Amino acid sequence: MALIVVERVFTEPIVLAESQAIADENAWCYRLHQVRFVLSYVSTDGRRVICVYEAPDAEAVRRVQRQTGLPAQRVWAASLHEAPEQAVSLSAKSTLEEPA
Amino acid sequence: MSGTETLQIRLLGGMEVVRGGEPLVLPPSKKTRALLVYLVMTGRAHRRERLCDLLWDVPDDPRGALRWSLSKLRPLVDDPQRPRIIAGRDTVAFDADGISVDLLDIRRRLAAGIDSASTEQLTDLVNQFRGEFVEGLELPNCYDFHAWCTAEREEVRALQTAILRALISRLAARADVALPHARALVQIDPLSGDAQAELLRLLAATGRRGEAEHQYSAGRRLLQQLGPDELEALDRAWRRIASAPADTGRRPSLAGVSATPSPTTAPDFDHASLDEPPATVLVGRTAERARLREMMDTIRSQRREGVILLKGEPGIGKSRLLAALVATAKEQGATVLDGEAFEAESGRPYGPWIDALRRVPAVSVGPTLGNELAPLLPELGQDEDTEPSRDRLFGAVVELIAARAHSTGLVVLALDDVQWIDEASASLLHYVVRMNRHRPVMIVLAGREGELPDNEPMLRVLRGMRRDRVIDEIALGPLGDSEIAELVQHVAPEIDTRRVFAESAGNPLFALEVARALPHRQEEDMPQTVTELVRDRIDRLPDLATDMLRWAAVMGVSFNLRRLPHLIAADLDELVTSLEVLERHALLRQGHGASVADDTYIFAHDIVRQAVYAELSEPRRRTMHWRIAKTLEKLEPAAETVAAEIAYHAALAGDAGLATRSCITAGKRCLRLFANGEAEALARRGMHFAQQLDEPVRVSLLIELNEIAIASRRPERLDDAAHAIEALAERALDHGCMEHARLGFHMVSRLRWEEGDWSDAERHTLQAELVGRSADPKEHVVAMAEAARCLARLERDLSHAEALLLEANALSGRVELEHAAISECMGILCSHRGQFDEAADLYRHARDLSHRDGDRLGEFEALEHLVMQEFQRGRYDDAAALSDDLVAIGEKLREGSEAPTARALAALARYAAGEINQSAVLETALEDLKLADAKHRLGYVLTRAALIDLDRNEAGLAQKRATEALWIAELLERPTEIALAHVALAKAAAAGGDEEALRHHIGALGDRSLRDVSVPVRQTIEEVLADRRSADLPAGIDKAIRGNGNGTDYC
Repeated sequence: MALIVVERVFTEPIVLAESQAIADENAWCYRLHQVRFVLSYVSTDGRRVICVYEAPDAEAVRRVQRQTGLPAQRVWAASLHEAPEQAVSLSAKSTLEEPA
Repeated sequence: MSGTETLQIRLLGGMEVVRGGEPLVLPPSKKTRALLVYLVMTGRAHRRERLCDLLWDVPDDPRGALRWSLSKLRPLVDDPQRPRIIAGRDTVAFDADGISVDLLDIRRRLAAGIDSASTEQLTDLVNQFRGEFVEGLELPNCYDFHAWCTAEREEVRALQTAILRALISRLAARADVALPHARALVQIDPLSGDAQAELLRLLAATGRRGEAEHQYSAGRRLLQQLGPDELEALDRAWRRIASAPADTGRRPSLAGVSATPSPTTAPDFDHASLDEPPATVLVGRTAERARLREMMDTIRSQRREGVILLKGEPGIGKSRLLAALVATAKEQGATVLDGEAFEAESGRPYGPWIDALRRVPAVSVGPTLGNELAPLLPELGQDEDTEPSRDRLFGAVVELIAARAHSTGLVVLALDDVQWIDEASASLLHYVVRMNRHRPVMIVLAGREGELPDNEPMLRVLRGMRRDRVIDEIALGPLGDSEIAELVQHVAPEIDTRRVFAESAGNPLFALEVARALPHRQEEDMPQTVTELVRDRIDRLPDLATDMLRWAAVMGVSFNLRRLPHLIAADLDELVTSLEVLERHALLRQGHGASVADDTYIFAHDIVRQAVYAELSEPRRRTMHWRIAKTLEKLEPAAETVAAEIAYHAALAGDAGLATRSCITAGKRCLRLFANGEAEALARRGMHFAQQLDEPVRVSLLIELNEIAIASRRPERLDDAAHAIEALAERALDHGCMEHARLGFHMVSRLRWEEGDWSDAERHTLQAELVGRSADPKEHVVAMAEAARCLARLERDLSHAEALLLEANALSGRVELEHAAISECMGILCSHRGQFDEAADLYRHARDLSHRDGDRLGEFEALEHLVMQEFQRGRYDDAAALSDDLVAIGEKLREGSEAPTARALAALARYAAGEINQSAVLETALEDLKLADAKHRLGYVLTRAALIDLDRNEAGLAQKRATEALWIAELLERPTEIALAHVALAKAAAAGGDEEALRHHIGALGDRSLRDVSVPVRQTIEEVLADRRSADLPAGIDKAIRGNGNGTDYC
């Protein structure tokens, strides 16, 4: 599976609970496309979000985004490069839970 | 033809066919007799299918069964010069011209009305009612016939009641003459308070006050069930009698009208007869016993199987001989497994086997075997991790028998009354016979020869065993005069045994009944049949014992003592006392099932039960069946094991709702026990009852019944079945029964698609999420349509996709919503099946809808499907033209993989059309697609490009592209793309002479995943493989390729 990054921009600050509810509603769609949420970075003003998923390809994530209706300005496949001495557990920093 | 030669058919009472004044011997098969009655009474031609439906509830060759029955009727009713059975290719009729049929004659004579007939004529007519219409011809499992017969009985009863009432009224001043008619009226209409009251009046008027008191007591007990209104006339009549001066020595013992005489106030009985010992002695049968002993010895010593059928007429002594054999086997230390089938028990699958297997002590069945046998013997406990199966169950029974044969040296399996055995038991019997050929197992079956043809499954087993020459048949004939004398000595030592022999014609059951009756009867009023003899004996029993016997007869051949206190107003002590009386009279015996030893009682012989049952009037039977059904439902609401019983009683009580629901419960249980034949029969019965119910209950229950029917046997005409269920699901939707509608749509999809690779749990999760998503019907439709489309696009669980789609489509019409996802999904499914034209129309419609809604992405995807379909059809020019439109839309979609996809498809179309310079364009487009990271689209283009490369003899390039495509398809789990990549790689390997790679890819095509490959690609695979069939083709490929020829034509 590849790491897929989704860039999102919101006009109003994001309410995490609402986004989570949308993701939960569409859990079937995530499962079908083999898309698994990994983590998110949310800007301090709540208007910009970077989400990272595991999926077979970027297209699978695009389809899921379209189904959920959440804004996704860019979707791209990525590779992860960490500084060895500063390795952090990405999942420990996540603020959004995986869809139920 | 002379008058004495005229054929007479008597249907009022036991059926008789008389020629020249002599009653003819009727065919023993009940269904054959029922067929004659139906043809005679309806007086018109019937289609053969109709007659098959009426009487032959078997899936295999019902027309053959009909032919067989007709062949038995012809010699009975045909005149030498005039056939009466008029059987054409499609229809069958009975020519009744010039024949006397008692019921039809009465109807003719009363055509002008009862009032215009004289009292003498009415008296003459009423005497022709010898009993109930075709008494004893019960076929409770042939529901159509049963319904028809019950309706006829009702009419006959109404006619007889009307004649009797007219007579009683006309003879009001002549109480002694009117009395027999009043008695007859109460007999056939016991729930009429007026009739009961009139009888009381006439009894009192003729000086029979003691009998009047007894009648009042019995009538009151009966009418109490119906409420106070029904009692009023009876109580009033009794008050009048009670207040009048007595003219006999006995006065009514009642102080007030509300008191009910106790059973002890009944008329005197001959108590000496109650102490009669049961007849358990076995006499005669010396040759048969010797033969059975010899067979037992041979089987034991030679360690090989033996099967014996004891056959003969009812009462001839089959069960007694079987019991003797069982006793001998036990004495010799053999393992004995014995059970019996009961007529009313079809629907209780494996009944005789369950009883038989319970003979083996639970402790001697190991945990592994116990686990396998648990579907039949739940007390052995089932390991939840083990998936039960029919093969496993049958194998376990064989293993148990083998183990017992090994440890005790001989197993005797004795099954009685196999003419009533259920289909599942018959199948298991056949299996056990086949699998124990070389073990010391003695299988002894006993059955009524004449009724065996009514049981097609058992007949099939017997035919098989006869063909294999593995069965010995012993026909039991009548006993000789000295044997009859010896037999009856045990019952009545002082009796005239010659007379008993003459009366009974050597039938031991008949002989015993004659012997019991003789001391109480004069020569001239000696009953003529076993039934009459039994009835005569019952008439001399105490009230409570008679009552108990009646309830028992309605419950069935065997009944559970614990249920009686819920049906009869008596305490357990009284009931047990009465039970002892009935046992002493050899009318009932204790059951011998190990698990129910203390509570189950069985009629000494089915003839006894029939005699008691036939004596009950139809309304009374119905009331009793209804009370039993309700009592069972109340006592054991959750017990699936009694569901078939409840269905049986509810059906006979006319409670269609309870009967239908119980058929469903019982049918599901049968499925779990792999008794598919019984499950199917229950489903069909349930459907019959469900027709009497109102919507929406009817439609919901019909859907559940269809589910059982389909699970028990895959319909031969899949499309017809699917359409019928779809219509039911639509009706369920109309009624707002969402759960049942959904079940219906799922059934349709399961019929049309092989099961996908999704587990039920995954399906249920998705379903629950969709249902819970929104209460708004439109949003719900969209959610389902999108989920269906998602599944279809991913080629995952297409069966489930179609189920969702059907529901979404049906609902969308009702909420006036047209959604592109529905059309697109339908198109994908049609395309998958190779229905290209229909798919094209649907894709265009989806495109239009998306355009209407401003959904540019939807428009793109619908058009993309069209382009891909043109590739599939090899229409590259059309594909190229459509691709240009696709590029135009793709360019407007800024993000995503649409634009590079459109460019790649356009390049591919031109590459396929032979434009060499498009190769570089295609390569660039593929690179763009890789960057966009849309693997399914990339894989699609790579595979098609590889196939075109091969046509251009560029095997190396083809191999490279197809390898990448295969990796993608496997990652995305796309069956069709995986298969097509293997095809391309096989071709490339063949072109490159790489035999090992070729064999690898050919082998991969035999993989199970081919099951879900689309029909057009399967055809492609077949074409590719056609020239290699003579080579070393792995087994299973043909099957895998051809296995999934499903189709829906809603496109």
